[in-house]
Amino acid sequence: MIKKTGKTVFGIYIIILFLLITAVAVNTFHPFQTARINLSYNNDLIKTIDGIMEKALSFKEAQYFEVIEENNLK
Amino acid sequence: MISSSKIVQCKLCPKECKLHQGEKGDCRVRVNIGNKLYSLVYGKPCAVHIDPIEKKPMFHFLPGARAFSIATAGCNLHCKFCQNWEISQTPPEETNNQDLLPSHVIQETLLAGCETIAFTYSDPMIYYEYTYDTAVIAKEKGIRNILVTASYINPEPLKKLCKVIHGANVDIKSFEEKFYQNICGARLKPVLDALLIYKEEGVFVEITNLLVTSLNDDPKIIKKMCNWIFKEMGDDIPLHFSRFWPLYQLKNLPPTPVPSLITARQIAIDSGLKYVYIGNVPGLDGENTYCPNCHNSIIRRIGFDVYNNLVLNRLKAEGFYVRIIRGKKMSEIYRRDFIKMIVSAFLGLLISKIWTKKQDESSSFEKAADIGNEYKEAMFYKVFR
Repeated sequence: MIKKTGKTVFGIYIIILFLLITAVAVNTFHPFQTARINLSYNNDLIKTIDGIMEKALSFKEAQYFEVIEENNLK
Repeated sequence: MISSSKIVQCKLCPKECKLHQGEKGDCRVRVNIGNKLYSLVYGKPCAVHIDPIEKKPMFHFLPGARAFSIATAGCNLHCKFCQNWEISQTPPEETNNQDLLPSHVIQETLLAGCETIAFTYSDPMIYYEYTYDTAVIAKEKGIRNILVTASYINPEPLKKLCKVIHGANVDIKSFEEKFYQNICGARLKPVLDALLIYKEEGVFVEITNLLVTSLNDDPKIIKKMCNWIFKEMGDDIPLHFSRFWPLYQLKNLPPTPVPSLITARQIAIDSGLKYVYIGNVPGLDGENTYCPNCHNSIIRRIGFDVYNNLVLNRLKAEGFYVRIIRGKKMSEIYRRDFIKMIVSAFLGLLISKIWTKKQDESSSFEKAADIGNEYKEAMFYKVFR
């Protein structure tokens, strides 16, 4: 009786192990999974400028620009 | 009366937009705030996917590899046939952006086990700072960087970017100046100059030409383009003719007829180009790579799937020479995950084996105890009988 119960438990254990391995394998090796992105990064809402930007955007100083003088006729 | 005021002129792309305070450039993602130019999309991609590298399309660069692909909103071209117009022709405040700084992009790429990072979908040139910073870290970590771009950019920033870029797929929209101006809102010459810079800087280049029905599928123009590629870039540059699908502002046109694509491919082959492909038509012969000497198929493809990759398997075909950037099929991380999985499975089996052995042992002890009791009883009866 004890031997039989032991075998059943072992069988269930093997099935669970197999399912676990399959899940890990699918998760790891599925070729074109959508990227799982951690969305917990800080997402500070930045103040709007002239009402253009309502959503959080970054303000990284850009490269390659020049400040020039523009002549206006008044 | 003449008065003067300060404004900002962007020097990133040949459009060189002049921006007053609070104004955005033509690309919609660079803004003048306090006479300083700011990028609004640094670390704010609106598209993040893992794609096969064949989707870019890059057929001679790590065939079968995966590309961690990112894009932000905006573009400095306004092609009426744009296939990604939902993000490229939209300002960044109207797209769903994620927070993904360059270091996070590398983390995610390594986690996903991708061999490459592709800056794609819209145009990586308009999120230049983001592209550059990400590419620098990626290069340090041994990840290869790919641009999928129209390459409408000034020479100076492009030369700097080329130092950290390994491969690029450049779109030649057409070989007609008129087409560039009327349909794309740009000019042809800066794109051709950019192609020469890639060549100079040693960046591996593949070229794509999307054939739009009745607009740029004239065989004469295609011939002119192929001759230029052959003369200036060499005969081993892969060229892709892609099928147009009616989208955005050209929904009135039908998809490119397959015979037009086949004709274009033949023109390119007749011009001396060795590797000419047809894209967006799965199952056509124009998806495979053939050895230019022995004409045996070296890589067979259906859509984005790679079959019979002789390059990857390092098998030699007769007279085999194809300029293909080779790489490992599995990245370090990818392989480590595999080893981890095998080790955990082995440990699991070992533990289960030990456990069952213990079970067997305990049941045999119980049996022995039963036998012992029977024996004791027998002896008891024997003694006291």
